[in-house]
Amino acid sequence: MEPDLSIKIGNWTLGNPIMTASGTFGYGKEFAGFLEIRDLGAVVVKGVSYESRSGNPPPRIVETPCGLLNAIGLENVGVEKFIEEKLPYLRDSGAQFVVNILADSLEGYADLAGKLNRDDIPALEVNVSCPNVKKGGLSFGSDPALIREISSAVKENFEKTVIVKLSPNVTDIRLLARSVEEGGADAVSLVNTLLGMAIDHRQRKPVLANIVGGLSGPAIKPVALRMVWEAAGEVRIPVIGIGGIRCLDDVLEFLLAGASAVQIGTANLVEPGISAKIVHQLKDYCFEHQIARVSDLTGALLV
Amino acid sequence: MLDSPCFSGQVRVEENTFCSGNIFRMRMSCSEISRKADPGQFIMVKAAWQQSDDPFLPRPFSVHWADSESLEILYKVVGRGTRFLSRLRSGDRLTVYGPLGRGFTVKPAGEYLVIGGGIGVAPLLFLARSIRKNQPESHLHIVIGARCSDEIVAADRFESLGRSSVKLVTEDGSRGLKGLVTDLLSYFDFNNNNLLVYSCGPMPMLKAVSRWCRGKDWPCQVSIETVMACGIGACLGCAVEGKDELNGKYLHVCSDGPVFDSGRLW
Repeated sequence: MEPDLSIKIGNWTLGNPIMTASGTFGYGKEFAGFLEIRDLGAVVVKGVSYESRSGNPPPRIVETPCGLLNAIGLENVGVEKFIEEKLPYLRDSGAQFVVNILADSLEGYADLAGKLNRDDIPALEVNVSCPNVKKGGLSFGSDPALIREISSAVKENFEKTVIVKLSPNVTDIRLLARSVEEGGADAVSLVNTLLGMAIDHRQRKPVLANIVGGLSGPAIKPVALRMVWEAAGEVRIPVIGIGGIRCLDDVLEFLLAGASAVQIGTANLVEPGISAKIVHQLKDYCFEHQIARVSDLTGALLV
Repeated sequence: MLDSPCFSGQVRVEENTFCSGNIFRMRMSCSEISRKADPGQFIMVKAAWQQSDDPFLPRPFSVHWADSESLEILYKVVGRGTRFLSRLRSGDRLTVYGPLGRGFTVKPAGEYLVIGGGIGVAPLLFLARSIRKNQPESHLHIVIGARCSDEIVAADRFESLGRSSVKLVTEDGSRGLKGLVTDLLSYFDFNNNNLLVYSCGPMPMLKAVSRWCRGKDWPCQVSIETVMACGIGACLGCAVEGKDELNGKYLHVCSDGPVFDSGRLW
């Protein structure tokens, strides 16, 4: 019998649990030469803000052991241009997709969610790892009360599925995950990048123009796995696991830890067709191991 | 941006030849890329065994030569990734994808001047061959500069294209004229309004060449290099400042380039 790879997030059904992470998959079209994006569970597009952003000065990226440190600076085309130029391709592709959003105030998130509340956009993912302008640039991501408010504000302004993406740069991820659930969001995704730094000692200078950046890739996988496990133990809404996933084994580990779905991130930059390849491998795996529903793996860790 | 299917997978290393200094040339069999690549385009090469996570990111290399069955890259060993590549032997397999990026535009012209600095000759041999093939009646001038004779590579292959002049210059005078590429350029006396200039090499050299061309009102295309992660316009890591970008301050080397009209940069 064909294994059932489908999963549910709120009222939204995805064909399989393999998504791509925001910022590593462009607006989908960039990958058209490498895979069929409709084979994926869902594509999460590059973070969109109300106004366009030009991003940070270069150098923006540096490779670190088994990882990538980046300070792109949320460069994006802005919501108007996104709707005009990027949305039609996604809509016509037949793929499920999620629009990742970012803002620098609570009102900003609410406005953006309202602007994107359209029939042709099935889901939003809220990036809360941005600096909060009203609180002196402190990240929204570490304030449980604010996360609750943002979750509910976006949910109020956007009728369909809302996912909130958490930062790992916090003391206790469980508090933040709980705030997302209390705010009424449909799912929580984690983790965003870990704050890091690289230095060129010969020049006595930071490597990135922004000095600090976000670390991603296999280097962060154990941290992400632990946080997914903690969050999944705390909330009833689906948890979407992100962090260093680059093969089927990694996907299975995240599902067992409690994730209902996963996002492939930095691995897309190394092998652009990898996410579709993993979908096929997951299907074969379920078939071989007689797993009727992939959702049976979620949280099936023996401890 | 890519719309047509792109090769992504394993290829066989046919030859990995030490040239001189720290420079190597690798030929790999991959007709899917070699038949499709335009001069100035590049490929991404995983500089580690397939299952390894370290080094993690693939590296961009411009296509040095391509025929119906295979393509070549020319590379200098500068770090862990290129050191890994330099140790591969014929028969080893390598993970690559491409061809990527916007290459050189070759329009009909009376004369072409191709200027390479150091390892920057890499994309220019393929370009020069294309010019020779498509514009057989034109004059093709090639200038190759490097710090020392060890870093002059591929000069013989430029020579063997035929019907072209190849001039060499080294900073220490160990081969060709002593000085910089730009010193040599001042000897040239082009009285031709129908000249196109192409260049690749270190940034200061490209800026100098670009300035020289602007002074003469000659169109100049440059191929530039940056740190890169994806190579396909997804990560936006390879940003460079454009001179007058309207839609945001940055150009992206992988998807807007790597070849630019020099006036877009400086």
